[in-house]
Amino acid sequence: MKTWTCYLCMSIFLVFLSCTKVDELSDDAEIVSFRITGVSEGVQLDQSNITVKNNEVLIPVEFGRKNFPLTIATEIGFSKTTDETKSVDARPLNLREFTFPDIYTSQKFYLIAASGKPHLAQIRLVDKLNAEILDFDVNLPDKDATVVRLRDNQVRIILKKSLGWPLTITPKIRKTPTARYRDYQEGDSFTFTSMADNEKHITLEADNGDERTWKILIVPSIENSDFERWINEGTKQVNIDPVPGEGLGWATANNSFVCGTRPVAHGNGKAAEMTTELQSIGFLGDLVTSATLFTGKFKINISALNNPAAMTHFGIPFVSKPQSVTVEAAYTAGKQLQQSVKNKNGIYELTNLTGVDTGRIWVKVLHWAGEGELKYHDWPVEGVTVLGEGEQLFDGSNTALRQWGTYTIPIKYDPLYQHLGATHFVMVMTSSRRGDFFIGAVGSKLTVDNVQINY
Amino acid sequence: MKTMKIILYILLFLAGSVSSVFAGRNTTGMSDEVEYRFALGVQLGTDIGGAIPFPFKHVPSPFNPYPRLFPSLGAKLSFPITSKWALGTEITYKREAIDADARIKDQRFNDEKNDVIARFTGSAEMGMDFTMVEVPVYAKYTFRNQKDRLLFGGYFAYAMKGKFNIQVNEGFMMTDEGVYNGAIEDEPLRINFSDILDSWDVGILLGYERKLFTRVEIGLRVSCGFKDIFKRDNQYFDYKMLHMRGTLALSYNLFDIKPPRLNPFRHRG
Repeated sequence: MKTWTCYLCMSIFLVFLSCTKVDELSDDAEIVSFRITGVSEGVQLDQSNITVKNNEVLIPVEFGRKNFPLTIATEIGFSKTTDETKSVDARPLNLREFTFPDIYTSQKFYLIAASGKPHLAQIRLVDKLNAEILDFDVNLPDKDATVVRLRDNQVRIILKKSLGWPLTITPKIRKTPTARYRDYQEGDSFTFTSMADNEKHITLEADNGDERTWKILIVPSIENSDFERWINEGTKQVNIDPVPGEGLGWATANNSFVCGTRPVAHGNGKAAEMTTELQSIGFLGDLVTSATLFTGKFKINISALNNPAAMTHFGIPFVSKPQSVTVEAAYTAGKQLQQSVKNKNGIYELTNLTGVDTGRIWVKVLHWAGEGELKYHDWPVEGVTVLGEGEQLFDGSNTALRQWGTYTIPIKYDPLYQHLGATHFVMVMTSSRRGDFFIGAVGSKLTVDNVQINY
Repeated sequence: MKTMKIILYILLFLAGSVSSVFAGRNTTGMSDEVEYRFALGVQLGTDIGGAIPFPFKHVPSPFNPYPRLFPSLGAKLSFPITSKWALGTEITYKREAIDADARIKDQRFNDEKNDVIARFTGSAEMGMDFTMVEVPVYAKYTFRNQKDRLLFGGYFAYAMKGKFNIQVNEGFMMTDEGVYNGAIEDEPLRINFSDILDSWDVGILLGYERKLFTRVEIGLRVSCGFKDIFKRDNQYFDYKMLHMRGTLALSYNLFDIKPPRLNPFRHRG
């Protein structure tokens, strides 16, 4: 009996010892081997020079840019500490076959370590540099009006100020000497007629006969960012001019009940002043209503008057990732911080709160993977990824903020989503930061002018 | 409905056991008579265990439990039927707690920050803690040596307090559809499942008891719940988690109530 008891104790002890502690699980996961077993027609890859380093596979392309998409069949080996692989998006991951729509789009997926730690892995094609645009001068009289960035096969002309439409440029281009233009001659002009007409092309033919098509893109800043253009001025229906169109520029939450955002004189022109007001509606009661100026559009919905965020559709189409936003602003808090609280009859009543009101400006750069029109209210939306964000608060207890100042709001990007491009830009300015919850001080004013997007 | 069925089976089983014991009593004659009508005792013990995913294929791997021991205190009552068979019941106040670390895959939770249902995979620490009152009802079989006994029966437990927290230290989050949604790295992800814990449990138990001295007994038993620890409408677990625990208890019989015919004073009147 004693012997059996000993055996039992020993077994339990050995089982206990053999259990792997979770904090001992490896954080590492890596690609240890990569082999191409098949390539689609018309594309030549330099398979002898494929490199694998830090979970990045680089495949040199010899020829065939014009014959994309490229499909390759692969055999990938992973380290023993790799527990699983995961797609970066909703599409299923097939590690045996990858299709590249173009030479610039890499294939990405996650390797999950035994501990659960994710590691981004990517397979990138390396272009042969034989049809390059080396320099692109927009050649406009106002040298400070634009900034040019060359990326992949894109020439991105970023407008630092509104130049109006149509916009004609006659660029000076420096290219790979051995390459020649196919459908362009030096001195030719490009005319962009509107924000929607923002893409032209130049094709360069390399000495080996391969082609590279460059996109000439106009990346607009937000029109009317000096807040000079308003509609219905001098009336109760005054509103910011949503140029170039509703949902494409600035908007306010002004409506038939409340009109908190108005133009005021500033410098030699106008600025936008947002004022927190008291909105008294018979069937709802007294609502503390912050004023808002934002990129996107406002849709009045009578049944959502007690949920203002539901009526603000944030975001305008935007394809670049700015580094920061600069804005001139002044902030004065109202005297008494209050909140509208529903009573037992469902009518909002005012309750005094301690503290001082705070104004807020926030910025988000989004990637929208869904179809159709984006409906974003700063709530999680399926298909929306917040790539980067920034915020500036205006503490009403700081009376120095009552004077005009220039504020630069850095946009911090999430490195996890480096691979995603921007599709929308959201900038929201409000006179009471917790206006969504009907918290604010009547009379709080945030005045803004000259929003500038920095790259 | 399933739980009700299980309870019914237990009751039938117990009723069957008791009736067979009574039947035995009728045929065994005077030699099988018992010495007392019932006995009341107190007991002190401890429990080791916690809630385990069921079916067992859902137990994560690796999974390292670190049980925490707390004293339990209770009273027990025995009703002898024959010299070999008895019925027993107890009421015990106990605390069952366990910490564990595990590599969890694809677990749903409520992402409070974004107010959506999401999933995570990763290395996690978890803590379960239940304070409960347990009422077991069982049949006892006493071996010939009059010292060793086997117990089998069921129990009902009412949890007065329950905590179930998970802290994910490393891993990643997904949408409810399983689409990757970001790493968990700088700050651990803390999830509280306490709100979805149910307050009661039923199950079966099996045990062994040995008389150490005249009034002192030591008992060892295992019990397994039939009921999910979570409320029925919880939307986070695709599997059940059942209470499973071992109990070690030392009991002291305070007094026995003798049957009238064994009462030494019965002829005096």
